[in-house]
Amino acid sequence: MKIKRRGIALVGLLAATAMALVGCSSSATPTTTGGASSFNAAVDGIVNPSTVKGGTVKLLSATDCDSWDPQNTYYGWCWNMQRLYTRSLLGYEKVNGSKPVLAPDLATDMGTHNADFTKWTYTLQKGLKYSDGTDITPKDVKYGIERLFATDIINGGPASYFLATISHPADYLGPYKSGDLASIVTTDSTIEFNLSTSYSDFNYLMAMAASAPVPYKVEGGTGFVGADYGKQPVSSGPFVFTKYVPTQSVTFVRNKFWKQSTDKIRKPVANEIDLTIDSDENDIDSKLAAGTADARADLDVGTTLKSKILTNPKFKVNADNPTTAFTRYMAVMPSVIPNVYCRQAIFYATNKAELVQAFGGTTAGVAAGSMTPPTIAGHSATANMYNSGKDNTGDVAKAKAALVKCGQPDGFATKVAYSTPSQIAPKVFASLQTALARVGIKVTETTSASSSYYSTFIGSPTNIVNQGIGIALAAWGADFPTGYGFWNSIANGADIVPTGNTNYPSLNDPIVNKILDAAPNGKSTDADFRKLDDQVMKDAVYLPILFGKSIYYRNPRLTNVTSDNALAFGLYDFVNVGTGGK
Amino acid sequence: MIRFIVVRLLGAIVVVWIVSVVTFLIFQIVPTLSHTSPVYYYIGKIPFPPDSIQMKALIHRFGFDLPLYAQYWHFLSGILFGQTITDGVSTPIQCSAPCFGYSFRQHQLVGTMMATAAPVTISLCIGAAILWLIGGVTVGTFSALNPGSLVDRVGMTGSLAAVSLPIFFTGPLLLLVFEYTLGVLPDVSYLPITQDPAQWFRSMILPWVSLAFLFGALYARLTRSNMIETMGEDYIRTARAKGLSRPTVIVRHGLRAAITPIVTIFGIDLGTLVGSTVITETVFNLRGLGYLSIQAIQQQDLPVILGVTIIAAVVLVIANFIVDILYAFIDPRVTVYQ
Repeated sequence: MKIKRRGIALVGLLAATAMALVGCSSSATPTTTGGASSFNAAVDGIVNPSTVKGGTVKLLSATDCDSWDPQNTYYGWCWNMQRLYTRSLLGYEKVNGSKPVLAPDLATDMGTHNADFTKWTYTLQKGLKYSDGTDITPKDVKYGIERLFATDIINGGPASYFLATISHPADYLGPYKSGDLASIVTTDSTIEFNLSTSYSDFNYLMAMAASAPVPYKVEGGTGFVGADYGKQPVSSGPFVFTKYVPTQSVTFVRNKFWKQSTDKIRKPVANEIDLTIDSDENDIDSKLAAGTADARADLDVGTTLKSKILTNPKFKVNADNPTTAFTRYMAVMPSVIPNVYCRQAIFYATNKAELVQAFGGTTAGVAAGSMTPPTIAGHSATANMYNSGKDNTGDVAKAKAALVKCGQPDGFATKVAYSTPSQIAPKVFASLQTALARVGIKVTETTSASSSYYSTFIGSPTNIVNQGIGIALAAWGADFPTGYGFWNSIANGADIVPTGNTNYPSLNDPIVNKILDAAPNGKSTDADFRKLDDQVMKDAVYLPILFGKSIYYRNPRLTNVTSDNALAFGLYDFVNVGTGGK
Repeated sequence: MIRFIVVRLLGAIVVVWIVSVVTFLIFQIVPTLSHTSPVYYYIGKIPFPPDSIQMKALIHRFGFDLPLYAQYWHFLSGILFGQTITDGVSTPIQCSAPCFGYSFRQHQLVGTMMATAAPVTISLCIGAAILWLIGGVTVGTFSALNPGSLVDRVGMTGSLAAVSLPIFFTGPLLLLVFEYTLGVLPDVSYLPITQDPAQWFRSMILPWVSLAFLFGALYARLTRSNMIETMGEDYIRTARAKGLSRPTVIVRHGLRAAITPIVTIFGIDLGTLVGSTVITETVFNLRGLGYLSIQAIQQQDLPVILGVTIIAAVVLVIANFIVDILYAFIDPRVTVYQ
C-alpha cells in the first residue's frame, strides 16, 4: 500500500469533515428514478439510459476473482461479472431496487414443478450457441451442475445448496469419478431435476452462475477439463472471456453467437469490457477520480475517493450509496445468558448510533430495527421491537427494568467474541462495552482468528458455553433474496451442528421452525417471514445493528448504469453498461 | 581451508534441513491448535462438514490423510526432485525442483510466484546494501578520523536520527518531497533492469535511500568505533612512521582491520533483509517477497507462507556461509581456531 503522504493530512481533515456532514446528510433517498446523473440515481433507476453502441468500458479491481469458473466462484462481484459471459436457465431481469425479479434466461419460461416442489423441469430455447459456435444443450447444463459434486476439484462455489437439494448417491463425487448423475434427466430440449427434498426456492439456484452450462466432455474422448476450465471458460453470454492474465487483467469482447432475441435480461451496448487488477487502492481511487477508469468492479471506493464524494458535489453526483441485503448483528447466546429479560436488557442498552459510527458512519450502514434486510421477504422499514430511542442511543430505563425482571438489577458480566484481524471489531466492542456499562453489564472481549471464528469458535455450541461467550459479532447476507434463503441457515433448530454451526445462538423456536419447515413447500408467505422476524426478536437472540451500505462511483461518461442488488451488494450491473460509443 | 569450507557447508545443509522440518511441523501444528482443518489453509474455506464424504475427498486429495512423515517426505522430495501436481482430472502441472507446491488461492505454483517476486526484493536489497555500506563506512571513517569535530558530531547525530526513524515515516516523507512536491523522481514501481536500466534506477532510488538510511546509521556508528580502536594501535603508528601516506594507512591498514566485524554483520543483514523487506515493499508498493509473504499471511495461504519461510531461511544460511568464508580469507586465523 503506497501512502501518499501529501494527501494524508488533507484526507484526515476531509474525513473529519465528512463524518460531520454524513451525520447531517439525509440517508440514501434516490432523487430520480432514471435519466440524468445524480447521487443515488442508480440505486432504483438507470443513469444515462442510452442505446448508443460501441466503446470500451474500463473496470478496476484490487484482486482477481477467486475463480472465473462459474461452478467454482463465490465472491459476489465475481457472480456479477459472470453475467457478462455466462447464462443460466434463469436470471435476474431486474437487479436494482428492493425487489430483484427473476426471468427466464436460457429457458423458455420459469419452469414447472410438481406439487411438493421435488421435481423441476425446464425447456431450453432453440438455437442457443456458445462463443465457439457449438450448440448449448441441456446436457451441458447437467454437466455444469454435476461438476459441483466433484468437490475435491471444484470446491469454491455454492455447492452446498445443490448437494443438499438434488438427489444423489451418498458417495457421488461428480462426473470425473462417479460418472452420470441419474437424478438429472435430459432430453434434446428439456432438463428435469429430481430433488431429495422439497425446495420451493429452486428457481433461485437455477439463476446462480453455478448452474451455467459447461460444454459436455466425454470421458476418454477429448477429456474433462476439471479445474482448468477457469482459465478459459467458454461463453454462453453476450461477452467472451479472453486475454486472461492471472492477477493482472482480463478482457471481455462481444460474442458474435449471442443473440439479443434470446436474451431478455441483458441489453449490452459496449464492444469491450477491460478489467485491470490493481492492488494499490489509492491508485484505483485516483484513476476513478481522474476519469481514466470507469468504475470499480469488486468493492466500494476507498477512503480517499469516499471523502471526495461526500464533500464535493462534483463527485457526489456520480456516486451511489445503496443499502445492501447484508445485516451486521450480534448473536446473544441463550446457553450463556438463559434468561430472556437479561438478553433484552442488552438489546435495550445497546447504543446503535455509536455502533453505526464504529462501522464507518451512515454511509457504511443504516441502523437496523430488525434482522431482515431490504430485498428479503419480511423486511419492514419500521419494525423495531427494542426501540433504542429517537437518536438510537439506547433506552437505559427499559434496560434497567429488564434487568430487574431477570433478577440481576445490578447487571452481570459476560464475554463478547469477535474475529481477528479486524480494524472495526475492536471499535465495535469498545462502543458496546461503554453502552452496556451504563446499566451494569460488564463485558470483556474474547477473540479468535478468522480461520476458525465461524467454524469452531462461535460455530461450536459447546465452545460457546465453555468460553462463556454471551455475545458474538457476526454478519450475514443471503446468497439469494428469499426469506428461506436468509433465515434457514441462521434460525432453523433442525440445522444445529457441533461445528460449523451457523445458527450461532442455537435457536430452536417451534414457531420459527414451523415457518421454515413450510417454506420449501411454498407455504410460507412474506407475512410469515415478517412473523418469523418478530418471533426471533422476541426470543432476543439476534440483535441487529445495521444493514450494510456501500459507496460506489461511476464515470460520468457511463450509460445504462444501475445497481445490482440481486447478486452483488449494489455493485453496478456491468453487462448493460455503455460508454456512449467512445 | 578446504576442510573449513566443507565443515561449514555441511553445517549449512543441516541447518537448512532442520529449518524445513521445524517449519513444516509448525504449519502442521497450527491447524490442530486452532481446531481448523488444514484444508482451510489450502483453499481458504471449510466448504463441507468435517465428516462428510466431500471433506474426506478434499483431505485425501491434498494428502492430509497420510502419516506425518509421508507428508514431510512429499514436501521435501518436491523441493529436491520436483513433483507433478495433479487432481486426477485437470492438466497435471509439472513443478521442477525446487518445487514449493501450489497456491490454490492464487492458482499458481509457489515457485513461480516467488520467482516473480524475488527480483524485486533482490533489486531492493542489493541497491540499498551498496548504499548503506558505502555511505555508512564513509561517514563512520570520516567521523573516526576527526573525533569530536563538527563532521563527527553531524555524522553521529544524523546516524542517531536515521536509526530512530522508522521506514514507514522516512518512506512517505521521501515520496512527498521528491515525487509529489518536487516531481524530480517518477512513480515508484518496479521495472526490470533489463528493460530500462535508467528508469529502473530512478524508480528504485527512493526505496533504496529509505532502507539504506536505517541500516547505514548502524554501520556508520560501528565503523567509527572500530576505526577509532584500530587507528590507536601501535602498528598504525609504525606504518605512519615508516612514511606511508595517510590514505594508505587508513585504507590498507586501518579500515582493513576494522572492516572484519562489518563484513560479518553485512552478510547477516543482507541475508535477513531478503526475508524482511515487508514494510519497505508495502510503503512503496513493490511486489517483492515481503509483499508476497504479507499477502499470504493475510489470506492464510499456507503453501506460499511455507515457501517464503523456507526461502528466507535458506538465504540467511547461505549469507552466513559466505560471510564465514569471506571472514576466513580476510582473517585466516579463524580457520586455525575453528
